[in-house]
Amino acid sequence: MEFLREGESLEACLQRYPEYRERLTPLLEVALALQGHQPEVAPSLYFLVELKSKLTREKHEGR
Amino acid sequence: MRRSSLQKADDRELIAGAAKGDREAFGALYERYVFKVFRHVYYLTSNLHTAEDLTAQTFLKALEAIHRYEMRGVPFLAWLLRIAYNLTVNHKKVRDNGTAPLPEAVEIQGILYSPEASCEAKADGERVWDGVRTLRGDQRQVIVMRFVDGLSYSDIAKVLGKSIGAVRVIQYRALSALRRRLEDDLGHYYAKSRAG
Repeated sequence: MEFLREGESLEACLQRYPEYRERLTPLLEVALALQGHQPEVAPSLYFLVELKSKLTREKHEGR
Repeated sequence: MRRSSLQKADDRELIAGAAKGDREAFGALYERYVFKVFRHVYYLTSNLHTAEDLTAQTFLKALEAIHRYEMRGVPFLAWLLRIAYNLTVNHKKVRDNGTAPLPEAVEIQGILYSPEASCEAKADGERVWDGVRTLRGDQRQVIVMRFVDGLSYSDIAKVLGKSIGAVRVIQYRALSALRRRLEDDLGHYYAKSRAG
């Protein structure tokens, strides 16, 4: 799994552990798919600014 | 601390400042980690507004508790994610065993695609992550921390209060469950990756 994260191909990873090839193949395929297809999401700019303001403003208001 | 020095300061300095009441230091920590916390919560809840709400709650709780954070324990991100996790599991939609529906649309690299969009990469991603969203709570959590947050097994273990071995077992079971659910789609994906 670590080798996949470092950019090694699936086949190269499997060649490292030929004795476990049969067991590893389906799991590494899933890991590769998870790693390769992450939808990018981000909060709204309004949210980011509002929360930053709230977190830094409260110093004057006490807890 | 001035803004430029805040940006250069390491976590340790910022945490020490924030613990003494320096809200600008906390603000710098916020800027450093807000996207990671948001992504983490989003992948658990599948809802942008819920993710924003829980992200805000996470940082407000962290602000209250930062004087109790111990630098020798878990990394700051892992500490934040533990707060986020506790808030998320208490959230109604996730409390119902993490089966929140997929969002109406998924935002990819700043572009909002409809479910009908024909982008093949997006379709692959949705299939895989749709499967993640059906996993039970701890399995989904481990997958998100490994594949979205990039945490080590050691840090995941600290966040969840489990052993590293237990985390590996959860990951193994999660990947196995995903494999079973996604067999057809992944066969297509694997054939494509080998060809390309």
